[in-house]
Amino acid sequence: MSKQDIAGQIIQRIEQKISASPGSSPEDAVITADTLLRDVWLRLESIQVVDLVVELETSYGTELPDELLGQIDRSPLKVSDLAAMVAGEAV
Amino acid sequence: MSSSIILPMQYPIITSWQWVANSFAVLGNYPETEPWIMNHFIQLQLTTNPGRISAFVDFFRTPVFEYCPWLFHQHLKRETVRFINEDICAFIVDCINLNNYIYGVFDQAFFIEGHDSLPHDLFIYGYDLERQVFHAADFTFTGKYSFAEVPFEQLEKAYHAIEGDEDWLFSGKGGLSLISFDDSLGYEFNISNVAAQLEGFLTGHNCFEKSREMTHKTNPCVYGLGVYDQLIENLIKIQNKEQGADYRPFHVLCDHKALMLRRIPFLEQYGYLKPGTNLAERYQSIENDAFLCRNLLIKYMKTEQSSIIDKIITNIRKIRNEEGEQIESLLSNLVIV
Repeated sequence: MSKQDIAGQIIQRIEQKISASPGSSPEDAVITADTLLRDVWLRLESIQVVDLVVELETSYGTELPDELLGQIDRSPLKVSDLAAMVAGEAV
Repeated sequence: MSSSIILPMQYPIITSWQWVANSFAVLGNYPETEPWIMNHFIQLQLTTNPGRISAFVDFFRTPVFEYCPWLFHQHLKRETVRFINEDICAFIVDCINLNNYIYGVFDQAFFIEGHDSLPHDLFIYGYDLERQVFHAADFTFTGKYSFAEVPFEQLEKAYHAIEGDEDWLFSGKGGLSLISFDDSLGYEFNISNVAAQLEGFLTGHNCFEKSREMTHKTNPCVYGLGVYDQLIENLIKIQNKEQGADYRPFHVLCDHKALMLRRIPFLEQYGYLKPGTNLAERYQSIENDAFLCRNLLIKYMKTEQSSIIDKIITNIRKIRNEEGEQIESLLSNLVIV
């Protein structure tokens, strides 16, 4: 599976989680491969972030770095970088 | 009479437990209360909790409603409430009209679909007579601290469903608390008291021990850095399946670091801390480690991967060492006049 395909699937999962959050607006759920992960994490509850990481690890048989579960307020990582991590590429 | 009133309430800067979240949701509307907040919520305590899912971690239990200088606290027995007005909804509306928030135990199974009996403390801060709803706050609505509307009819049932020991607030005294904000009062920041609490945090000693009767009775506790040692012992039990996992103690650790991060610039701004320390930056790193511990524990609860517990233990040891150093540095840079 290509990195673009994985990015598309990740975006779909994120959008579903954001839409399920109480009080979220349709604009909140607009995510692209260039969206910063720190902006995505802000739109999710902590439990949803952990859920997403666990789902990705389970679905793609990979282990993601713990830094994704810490504070990433200043991180330059984007959704496309997360897709690369899932695909096993160095970021 | 107005058909709706909502008393000042904002999402609190920390939530921890409901008594903390409710207090901060009120005090957050009044910047003048910041010095009092910065003067408290420094010490951490872990209370052993035999037979329960986990130990109980909280800030040292300063009884906020009783001791916060701006809060006027009236505590009424249920019998007294009934004597004043047998209609609990009318009583609460009257209290809100007099600018009182209402705090008490209600059976929240009446608000949450499909839940069994759930006696839990609820904080009511408004009403709408036309829509026949109260505005209330608690953790039970969504699993995190949140605001919700509760129909009058359900609230009445929820109030009357509480019996005997279920009315556990205020060390089992129960009843309803009415809390109002009185802006005529004030508070003088006490830097020596801050220093005493920080020293207590370092040594694992509760500096309020001599005034123990002014707080709630608890099971035996450990304090300050000692909390981390006990959390590690508990994590080993979780790893060995001798105890269930509970992320709430780690949520309180995150809140504790968030408040320390708020306290450092406050102390600097008012001349209680020498300028030029890099304490805020170092505490930011401690906060990140606490945050990571909490999320890793949530991950463990979903996956039960034993190696996650090892990572949390490593992080807690790091927090313990780092925080010990930073509090020593903070103490040596305080300006106590």
